[in-house]
Amino acid sequence: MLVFVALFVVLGLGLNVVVGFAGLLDLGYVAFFAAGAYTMGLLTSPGSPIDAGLNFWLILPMGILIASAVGLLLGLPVLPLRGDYLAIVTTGFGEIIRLFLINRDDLTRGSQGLSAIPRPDLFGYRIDSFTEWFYFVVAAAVIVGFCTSRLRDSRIGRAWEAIREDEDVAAAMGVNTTKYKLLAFASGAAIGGLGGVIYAAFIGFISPAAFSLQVSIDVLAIVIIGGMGSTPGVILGSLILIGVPRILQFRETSDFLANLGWLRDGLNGLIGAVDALTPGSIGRLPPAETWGAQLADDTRFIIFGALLVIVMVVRPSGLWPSSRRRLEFAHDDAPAPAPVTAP
Amino acid sequence: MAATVSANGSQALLSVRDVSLRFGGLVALDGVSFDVPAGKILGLIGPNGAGKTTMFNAITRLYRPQAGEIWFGQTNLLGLAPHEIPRLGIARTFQNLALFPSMTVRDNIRVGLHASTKADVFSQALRLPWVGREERRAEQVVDEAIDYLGLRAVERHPAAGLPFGTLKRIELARALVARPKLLLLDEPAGGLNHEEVSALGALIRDIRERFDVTILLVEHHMGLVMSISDRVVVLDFGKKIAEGTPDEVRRNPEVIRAYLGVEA
Ligand SMILES: Nc1ncnc2c1ncn2[C@@H]1O[C@H](COP(=O)(O)OP(=O)(O)OP(=O)(O)O)[C@@H](O)[C@H]1O
Ligand SMILES: [Mg+2]
Repeated sequence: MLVFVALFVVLGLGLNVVVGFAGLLDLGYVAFFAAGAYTMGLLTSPGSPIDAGLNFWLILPMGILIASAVGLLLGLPVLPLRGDYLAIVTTGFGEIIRLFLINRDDLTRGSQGLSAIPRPDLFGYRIDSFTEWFYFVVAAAVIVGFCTSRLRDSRIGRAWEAIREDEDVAAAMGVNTTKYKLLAFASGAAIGGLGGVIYAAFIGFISPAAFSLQVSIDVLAIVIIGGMGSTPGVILGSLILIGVPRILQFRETSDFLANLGWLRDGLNGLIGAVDALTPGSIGRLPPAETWGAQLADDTRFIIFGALLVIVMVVRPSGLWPSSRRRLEFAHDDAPAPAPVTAP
Repeated sequence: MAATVSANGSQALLSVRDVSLRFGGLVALDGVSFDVPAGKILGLIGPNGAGKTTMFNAITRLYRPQAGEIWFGQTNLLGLAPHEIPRLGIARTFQNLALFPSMTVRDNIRVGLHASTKADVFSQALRLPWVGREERRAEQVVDEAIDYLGLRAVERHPAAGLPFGTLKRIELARALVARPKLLLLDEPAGGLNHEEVSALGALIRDIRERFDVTILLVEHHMGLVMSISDRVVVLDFGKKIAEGTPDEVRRNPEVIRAYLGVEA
C-alpha cells in the first residue's frame, strides 16, 4: 500500500504541473497513466499481439514519450478552452481512451486485459519485493519532484503561473501561451506515463477497468487537498487520500479498535446517564469487536468523505500550500539564494 | 515598404501609417500616422476616449487594426502575434495595471525577462550550466531594477494589495528588465500627487539616458508631458489633430478647441 502512496505522489506531481502550475483543469489525467501502462503491457505481456519482450528500462522512455504525445493530442483541441469547459472536455477525453482500450480488443485484449507483465530487470537484478518496489517508486517520485520544483522556479514555471493568472497579460509579456499550455499538458502527461509504466510493471496485470474516471478524480483530489502547486502538499495529499483509506482496511486497525472496549463501556455509561435523565431512550454502541468490520464497510468512505470536507473548509488552499500561494509577508522566508551550477 | 525616416529627417524607431481601428460602429482610430524618432520621448495626448490606449494596444497587437501598417524598424508589427512583440524590444505599462496579483513583486518583475531569456524544459530540468548562468544574470538584472525603483521592501510581497503608486513602479520595473528599445508608458502619472509627478518626470528622463530607450508617453498631466517630451502628437476622436514640439502644440488652435470642447 505504501507503493501506491508513492505511485500516486508521482501522478500527483505530474498533474500538479498542469493544474497547479499552469492552472489548466485537467480531468482526463488517467489517459496518460493508461498510455504509459499500456505501452508497458503491450510490449511485454505474453498475451499482447505486439509483445516484443522488451526490457522495462527501454520501455520507460518510450512510455513517457507516448504519453506526452497523447498529452499533445489532448492539448491541441482544448487550447482555446478555459475553466469549466476544459474540465468537461478533458473528462470526455479520459473516457474516450478507456473506451478505446475496451473496444480495440484485437490490440488490447479489451476488458480481459493484459497479464503476466514482467518486472523490471537491470543487469540481472530484479525489483521484486514490496520493500524494493517502495524504494524504487520513492526514488522515481524524488526525481520527478526535483524536476518539477526546478521547473516551477524557472522562467518556464513563471510563464505557466502568468498564464494561470492572466493569459492576455502573459502574452503581452512575451509568453507564447499556446506553446506553454501544450508544454504543461505534455510534461504532466510524461509524468503520468512514467507512473503508468511503473504501475503496469508493479501490478503485472492491466485492464481498462483500472483506468476509470475515478483515478483522475483521486489524483486531482490529492493535488487540491495537498495545496495546488505545492510539492510537499502532493506527498501529504497522497498519504492521506491513498494511505488513510487503506489503513482503515487493515487487520491491525480492526484489532486496535477491538481493544477499545473500555471506551465503549465508558461511552455507553454516559449514554445511560443521559438516558436516565431524559424521556425516551437512546441506543447503545455496538461491541467494540465489530467496529473494525463496520469500518471496512462503506463507513470508511463516509469517514473519508467527511475528512475531505473538513480539510477543505478549514484549509481552503490545501494542507500544505505552496509558498507562492500563501499570502505572507515574512522576510525571513527567503527563496533559495542564487542557484549553484553543476561543475 | 518600411517607412524608417520621419518628416524631420531623423531616424524613426516606430512608424505608424494610416492606422484605423473600429469597435463595431465606433471608430477608435481613424487613419492615424506618426513616427517615434529613435532616442526621443514622444508624448501622445488627447481628451478621454481619444484612442490613445487603443493605439498602444494596436502597437502591441492586443488589438488588430482594420487598416494601416505599424513598422518597428523593418518589421511590420501587424503581421505578428502579441507574444512576439516583446522579443523585438518593445515593452509597455498599462493604464489600468496588468500585474499578476498573487505572484510576488519579484516574480512579477521576473516575468518581464521571459522574452529575453531562453531556458527550455530539458535544460532547465537537467540544470545545464548555461541555464544557471542565464538565471544568475537574470537575477542581477531584476535586483538592479528593484533597487532602481525602490521596491526592495516589498519584493517578496504579493502584488495584490499594494498601493497604486507602488504597482505602477512594479510595472515599470517589469518593462525595464527586458531592456527594451521602445518603451510605451500609458499614463504613468495617473493617481500620483504633485511631488510624485515631478519626481516621475525626472525618472522618465533618467530612464531614457540610462537605458538608452525611446519612449512613447501617453499622459493627461500636461505639465509632465510638455516638460519632458521632445515632440507631441495629439489625438481627438481617433484622429490626429496636431503634431509638433510642445510649444507648437500648446499654441495650436485645434488642440485648444479639442481640450476646451471636452471641458465645456
Ligand atoms: N475593447 C474595446 N471595445 C469597445 N470599445 C472600446 C474598447 N477599447 C476602447 N474602446 C473605445 O474606444 C475609444 C477609445 O478608447 P481609448 O481607451 O483608446 O481612449 P484613451 O484615449 O486611452 O482614453 P483615456 O484617456 O480615458 O484613457 C473609446 O470610445 C472607448 O470606449
Ligand atoms: Mg487610455
